Amino acid sequence: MKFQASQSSLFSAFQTLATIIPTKSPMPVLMHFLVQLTGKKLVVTATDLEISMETQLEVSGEEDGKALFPARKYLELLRELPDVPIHVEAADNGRITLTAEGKNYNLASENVQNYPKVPSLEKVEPLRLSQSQLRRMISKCSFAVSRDELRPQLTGVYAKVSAQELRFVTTDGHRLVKIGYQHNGYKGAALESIVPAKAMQNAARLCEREGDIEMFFTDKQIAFRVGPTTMITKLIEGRYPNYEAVIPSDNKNKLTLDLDQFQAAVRRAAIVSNEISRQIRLKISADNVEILVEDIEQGNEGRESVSCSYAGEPMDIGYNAAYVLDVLKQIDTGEVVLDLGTPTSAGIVKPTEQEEKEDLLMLIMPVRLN
Amino acid sequence: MKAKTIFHLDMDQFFVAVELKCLPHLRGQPVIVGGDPHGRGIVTTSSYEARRFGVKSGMPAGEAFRLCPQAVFLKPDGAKYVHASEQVFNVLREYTDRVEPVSIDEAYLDVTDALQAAGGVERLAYTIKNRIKNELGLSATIGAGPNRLVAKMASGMNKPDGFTYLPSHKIAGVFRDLPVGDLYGVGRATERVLESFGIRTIGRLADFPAEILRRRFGKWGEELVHVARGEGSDVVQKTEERPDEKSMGHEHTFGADVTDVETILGRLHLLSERVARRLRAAHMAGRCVSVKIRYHGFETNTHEHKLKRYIQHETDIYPVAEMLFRESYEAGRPVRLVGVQVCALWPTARILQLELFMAPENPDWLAHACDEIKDRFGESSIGFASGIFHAGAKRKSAYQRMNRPNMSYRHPLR
Repeated sequence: MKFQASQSSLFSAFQTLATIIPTKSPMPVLMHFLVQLTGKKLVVTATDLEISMETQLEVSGEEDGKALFPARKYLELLRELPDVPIHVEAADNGRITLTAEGKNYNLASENVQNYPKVPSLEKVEPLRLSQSQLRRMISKCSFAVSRDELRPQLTGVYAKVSAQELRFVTTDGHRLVKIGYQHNGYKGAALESIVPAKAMQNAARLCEREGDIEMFFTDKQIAFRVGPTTMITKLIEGRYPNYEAVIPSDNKNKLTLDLDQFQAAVRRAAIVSNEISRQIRLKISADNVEILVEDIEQGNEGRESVSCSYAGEPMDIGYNAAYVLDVLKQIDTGEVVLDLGTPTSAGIVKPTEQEEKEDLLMLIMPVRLN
Repeated sequence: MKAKTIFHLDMDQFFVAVELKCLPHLRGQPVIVGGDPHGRGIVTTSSYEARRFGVKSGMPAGEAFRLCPQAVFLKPDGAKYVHASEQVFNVLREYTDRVEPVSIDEAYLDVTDALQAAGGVERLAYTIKNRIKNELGLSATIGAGPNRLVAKMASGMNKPDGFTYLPSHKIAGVFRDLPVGDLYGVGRATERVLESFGIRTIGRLADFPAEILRRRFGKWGEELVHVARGEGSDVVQKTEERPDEKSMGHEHTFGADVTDVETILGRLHLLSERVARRLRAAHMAGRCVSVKIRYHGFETNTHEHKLKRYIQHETDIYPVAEMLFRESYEAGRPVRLVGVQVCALWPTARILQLELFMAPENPDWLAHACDEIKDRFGESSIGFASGIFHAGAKRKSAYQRMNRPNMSYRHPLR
């Protein structure tokens, strides 16, 4: 295989796939890019067996072929080369040669026959969405994904697509985010799936430009396509917990707060809170919320008040300050609304006004006051 | 500071004694509680009649059978012993709150404040012994002294059903001529070294220059001299003063070595269930699971996995145990013993974060329901199918156990 292309076009294409390459793997072959040349079309693939990503670029091809490029060395070399035409050659013995203006580098590589089979895109009716909207939805829900390997379903993003709506749900059992978006139309099958968090993160990375992203849903995989780049991810098996059942429908106590004031107060209280429990206490009355914090172990304490508007029973409720801050960060409106039930039941957190076509709802579970 | 009086209470042939309450016709006969005499279990407890034949705790059941083939072999029934032990400790706690259990059938008591009301050391000891005998039908031996060490030594001097009191002024006289091997903490190896120094009696050790022993044994050498003089700690901690339990685990020795992965996993499931049940009973949760594998030939490996949250249910413990086992098991190698342990424990009362999901997403409900069923109908009344079918566990219904209590492999000659 032989081809020539500019440093910048090669670097940006390979760089897109770099996050898929595992840093350590019992299969060293996965730490390589699969590179295939047919005429002028260069197809580059990376996979960690769960997620695979492929991109294409045009080069001036000289000899068709297929080879593996050692990912880290190759990418670092490319980065350090000047933006000049680079001549790349893969010899039959597997060695990769980069030549540019008198610079010549020769890299050892693995046998291309050992590369695993990569799934191909199943052509189903795609859902089209603006890249910015998908990126926004992923960034709003990612924080609540569980890292608990014992509950694999919770380590993914629940994705539900129907004719009217795309919905993502994430939860770690203590917080929950549900974000829905009324899209412009989808003719494919309605499906529910659990997408690995790493795949969602990579999808968000693909959404860096103007324009649309296409999503292909099947019951075995989800694919994302932006321009010449396609990412296909396996799904997490199993059943997602019944999240709808834990969203309270009768939380009658409605608390509205100025977002900045409340956020700043909780940030201060978090500093003084116990490092393990991160517990803060909210004493809610008709027109103000008193935030109390006490760390008995360290002997630290604090209190401050934030004005609010509150319709409901006076309430004394405890929270993990870090959880509260995580949730508040997702609010884009000047004020935040908390619909509370009791001091031991889930509270709903919402912006005062939803973005157009969007529906964002978050849940936060209190801590028992001791 | 006021001199203390410490009791060391040691139940006599405890497991056998509990069994004999149900099977009085076996009194006076050699009785052995332990593993199958034709398998590979060990002797847990033997009656004094069996000990006359040379049967000892900890010896392979097969060897006990050769020494004393006429013995009645009984399979241990843990739940029964735990219950009896609780009854004993309840009696002890009526006299002092400073009761420190050493094992299921052994405890230290600080009775200093109870002596006056009881009318002296001897009266108190006999009051306790008689109550255990009359109310529970069991016999105990008590040793008394100014500290734990002396109490422990004293209880060993007059067993069974005995009482020995060594007040401070009598210690030196009693210890003087005892062989040094009788001293608590002196095993065979230490004994041999001491003999090479010409030390055969505890009295000789008590007078020996500590510096010389220090050079030979390090710090322990110096301590030995203190022990020989009957000096030691007199602190008996109340339950709430003792440091929290750091781990809970269960192990199982297979009757014959096993290579079948499903069988081993089934056993790990059963062990996980048992550990979980104990954790819940103690209101504890842990964030670390470890699995022990002992291969044929006694090579033992332990692997552990740290978690991001505290767990206390089998539905959480078993998947980690299974993962650890699959990662570390050398396929095809015969396994003799497996164990499951949960460590890094923390009281659940101090875990304040509330959970969003309840049953079936939250295993709490299932686990507590199973606990209630087991409390009422016995440990084998409900469990995971893999635990029952693959472990080959000899489970009996409550009905079966009631009708043929615990006599499953009585020797055919009897």
